[in-house]
Amino acid sequence: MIDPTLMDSITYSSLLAVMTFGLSFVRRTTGVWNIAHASLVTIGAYVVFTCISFWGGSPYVCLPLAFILSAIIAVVEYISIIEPLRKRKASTTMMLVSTLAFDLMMLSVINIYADYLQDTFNFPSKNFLLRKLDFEFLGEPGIFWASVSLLIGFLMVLYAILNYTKIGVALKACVCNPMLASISGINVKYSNILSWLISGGLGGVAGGLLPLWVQGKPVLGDSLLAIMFCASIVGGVEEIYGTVLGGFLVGFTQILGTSALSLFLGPAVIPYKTIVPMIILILTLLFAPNGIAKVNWKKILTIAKFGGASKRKA
Amino acid sequence: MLSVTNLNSGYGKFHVLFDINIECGKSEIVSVIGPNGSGKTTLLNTIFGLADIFSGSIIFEGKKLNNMPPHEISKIGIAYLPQANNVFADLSVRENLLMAGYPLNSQELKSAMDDVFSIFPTLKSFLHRKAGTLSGGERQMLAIAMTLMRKPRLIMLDEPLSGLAPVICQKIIEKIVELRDKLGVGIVLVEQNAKKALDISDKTYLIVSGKNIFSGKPDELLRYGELVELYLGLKAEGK
Repeated sequence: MIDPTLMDSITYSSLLAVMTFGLSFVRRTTGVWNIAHASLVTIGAYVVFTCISFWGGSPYVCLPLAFILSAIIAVVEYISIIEPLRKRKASTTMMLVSTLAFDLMMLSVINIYADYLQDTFNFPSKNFLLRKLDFEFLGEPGIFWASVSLLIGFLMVLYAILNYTKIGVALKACVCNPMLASISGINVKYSNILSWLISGGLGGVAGGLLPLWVQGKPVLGDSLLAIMFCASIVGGVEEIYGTVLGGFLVGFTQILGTSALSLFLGPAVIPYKTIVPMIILILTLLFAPNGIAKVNWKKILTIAKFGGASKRKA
Repeated sequence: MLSVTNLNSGYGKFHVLFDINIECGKSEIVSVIGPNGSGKTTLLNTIFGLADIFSGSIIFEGKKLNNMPPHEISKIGIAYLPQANNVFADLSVRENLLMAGYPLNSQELKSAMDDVFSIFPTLKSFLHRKAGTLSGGERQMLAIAMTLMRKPRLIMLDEPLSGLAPVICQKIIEKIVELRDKLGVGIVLVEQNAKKALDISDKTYLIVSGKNIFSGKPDELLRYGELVELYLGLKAEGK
């Protein structure tokens, strides 16, 4: 049996890492901080909730549908808003604001949909928890295994795609140098669409898993948005795998850090748990502005190990 | 092979080129020279669909390139070597070559890589190194190798000698001449180093402030003492 706090930390960090990946990936490929990524997470949760409410069964079965719908909406957002703005050479701030507008629009749609489910079918769509539908394996809830498996599986698939397939290398090329990619014969627009599709889909899957662990509500994704940004920046937007590091650092410190603090300062600190990742964010921006993935740990360790000796020699 | 007629182009509302006319044939090196900021790079960008065309036409082997996206232009036999950021720094040399031959199938890709290695054998020794870690000369070799991957019939080179040591410059010049003489490729060469460009060119165009002020053989240009001294900083013939 794993310690419940540790299990919570691993589950939260794994889901956060998957959600954050989407945010960082579109930031790298298209230079846009997609605030509407929060809505894509919520949409995933509502797809699972809708399937379960109408047809029953396991929430896990509905995850492919959550991936598809969130991915489609992400692509619609890219094609209808981001691409036209890019063509008009809009600034990154303008694009950021446009994603905020899209997020607010989607939030309204989700709220209307939740009201419709509640009023018409009497489903508790404004506040739902699917924990009782989860399975248990080796004494631990399925969401723990699912979130960890999702992260590991996703990392393995991503690594294989980015390193061993032509389209994957093309995605990296578009991130690295879009102009050179286009003159090399790569359709950068399609690559960008693919990155939005993957990011949106992953957001949807992570969102679909969230109600198995926390309460689902129309602002589910938006309530995690600040933490996702924090994990993305802490991990380092420029490194594809940095978001996983960021997700784990932020997730672990948020849960384990708050838990440890509550032992010393009492349970009153628990409601302020989001402050912990924000402190990490500020520290990261001060000491490692490009994120922890970009820190040259080898150099730091060498200095820590031999720094004194080399100074003495000098 | 390439015919640019009365081209007016720029970026958005910013008009850079005015009524430019350029021709480049098979097995021909055409140099485009001129002072800084005269619009030489914009000309190449326009041909490759990276700048806005206001009027005029660009025709390659009978096909009009106006408003064609860059990834389509790269498939019809034209390659472009930009002056800066001309390799994917985060990718390995092998991945760079793979991307340069993106539209090719696996067999064509293998044969293109073999051909490129026969011209630049040194590339083979650092296939798995990240392009960002290569020296200036090695990087430029890789960039030129990348332009050859799709076996283009026309190559546009934007200042390929910029920032390179004289020995490397000479090697690159030899490779450019080899491309023309052995592979029959047409080359549009934009170069700040006018002397070196004129030495190997069959035809030259002098662009100043976005306007074509001379077109003809390099030795004809060298006879215009005033032009050569004023815009290129070279001494005219006989002086």
